[in-house]
Amino acid sequence: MKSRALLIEFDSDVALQRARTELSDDGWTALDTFTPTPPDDDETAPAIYPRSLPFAALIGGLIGGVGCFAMECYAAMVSYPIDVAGRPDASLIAFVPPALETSLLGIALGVVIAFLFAARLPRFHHPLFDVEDFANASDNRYFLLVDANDGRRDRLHDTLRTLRAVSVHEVRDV
Amino acid sequence: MSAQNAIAARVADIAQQTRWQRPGHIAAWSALVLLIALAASLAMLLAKGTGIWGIDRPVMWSFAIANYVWWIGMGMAGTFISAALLLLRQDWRASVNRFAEAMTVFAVSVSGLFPIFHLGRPWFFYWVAPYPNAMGTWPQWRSSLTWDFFAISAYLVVSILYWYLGMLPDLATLRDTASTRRQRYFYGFLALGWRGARMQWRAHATAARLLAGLAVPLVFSVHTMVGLDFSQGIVNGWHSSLFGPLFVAGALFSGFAMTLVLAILLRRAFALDQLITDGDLDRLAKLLLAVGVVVAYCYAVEVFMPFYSGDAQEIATTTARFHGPYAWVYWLTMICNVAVPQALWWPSVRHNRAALFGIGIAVVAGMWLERFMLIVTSLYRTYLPATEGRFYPTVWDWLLLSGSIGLFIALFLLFVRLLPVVSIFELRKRREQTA
Repeated sequence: MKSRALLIEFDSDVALQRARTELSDDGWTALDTFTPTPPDDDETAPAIYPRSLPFAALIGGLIGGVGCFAMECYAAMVSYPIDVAGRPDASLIAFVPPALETSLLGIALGVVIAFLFAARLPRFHHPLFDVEDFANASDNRYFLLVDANDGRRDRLHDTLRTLRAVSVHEVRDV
Repeated sequence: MSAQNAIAARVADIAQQTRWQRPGHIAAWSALVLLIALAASLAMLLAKGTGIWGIDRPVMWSFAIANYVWWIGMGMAGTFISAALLLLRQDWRASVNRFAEAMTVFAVSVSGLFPIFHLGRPWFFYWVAPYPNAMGTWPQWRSSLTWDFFAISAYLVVSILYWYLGMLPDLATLRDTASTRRQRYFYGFLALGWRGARMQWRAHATAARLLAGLAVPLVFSVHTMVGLDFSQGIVNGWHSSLFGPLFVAGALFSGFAMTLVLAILLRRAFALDQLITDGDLDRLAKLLLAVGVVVAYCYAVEVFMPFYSGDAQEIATTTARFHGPYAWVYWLTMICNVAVPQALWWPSVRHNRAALFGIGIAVVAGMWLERFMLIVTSLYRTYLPATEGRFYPTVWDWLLLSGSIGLFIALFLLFVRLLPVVSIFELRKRREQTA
């Protein structure tokens, strides 16, 4: 949590990415970007990230699949065995279909829960929402958040003008 | 505040501003009338029991199960189309995935009505679920009915999650363009506070990829489970390992056809020519044709296998389909599902929206006929000549079928009225990349 930060608004992704590199050359620390479409530079990033998502998928799948299979075995062999024409109580192959479906369900739930943690959602209020222009972050504006406590302030005005920033807001406690 | 970006503005407008024209009103009113039919037929069913339908020994399944399989089949395609195209990096999915996923969720929800109300005592449907109960009983795990319950419940939950997750960034757009307080609260709540932060986008893309990888096998397993409802028994015409692939292919076939029909309707109703292009319809039509060929192959195998096995009963069931009392259903199925889609080989047909619409409707209707044909022609005469009987639908059968269509239309109209019908952020990304 930074006490003071600058929220800089651009009208294109290209301008945003240029600003990111130029401002970091000037010693500013980029904290985050807020864009209406997925950022472009993700091409270089690993396809599966953060790793907590596939891990949660594994855990969810194991809980769903093994849990359901164990429940079926307990139900059919211990708790409530039914003799159907002498067939074995442990009809293991017949137990697979429900266990398969619950493991797929567990994977999906695991992925979604891990996603919510990774994306820090739900969070209905955020200090950035106080900035009126920030509503455009889901429309046609690209925002860069930099730490206001470092970087060269003397050149900031000129840099932002050459970078064609639309506006700059100071925000607190983000 | 209205959106500046053209795509966002167009889509947000449909959900928040656009006043519906005459076709929209006609659709809404017909949905209402059909919903009343649904309510009436369900009330009658609860009061009198399943005897109001045309079912009787030996045909105890008929409409209810045909409707169920038909709806759930259409419910397979949306998630599949969206997931498979994501995994194959086909960026044209952006035009179709959202409403196809919505179609999936609604079709699966509608399909769930039928097995429940077919139970006779529908208020006990939860007995299929394992839960601690005073009777000390458990579900019968060896029964495909129990498997089906698990498959459909899991599929419904996963489809909703997949649909909703994909919609999050667009819900944020609608939240930020909302003009009234009520809209802001509605979309604000649904958007969960999405900000488009870097980490959010990355986690979103990863979750979408993982869920897509999961959804493809899920679709195949769920509809195979529906096929097992049939093939687990020894009824002639059903007891075949073909039923898994036949049902999956048939499900995708009807679902693609429905997606095509909805795409054409949406495009027409809201002038979405720029978002759902002719090229997208062409690709959808090619998909429909491809899966149609698989379906035709399955039909051929279905005829071949009884003769290959030499089983007298299987052969009798098959030949009775050709020229028995329900032969017209069989041949109508073949016309709708095998003959008509062959027109899609011609590019001129694929670029003719009226023709595509007609073919889509023919396939959707043909797939219902196929379900009906499979059920009734296998049940009306079994191993004992003495048990032969006929099925004739009653007015309540028809009312329930049309009522379910009304429920689907109503849900879909609500979706169009309230939520983003196409994926805003994906379409923009696609435009940016092609630009």
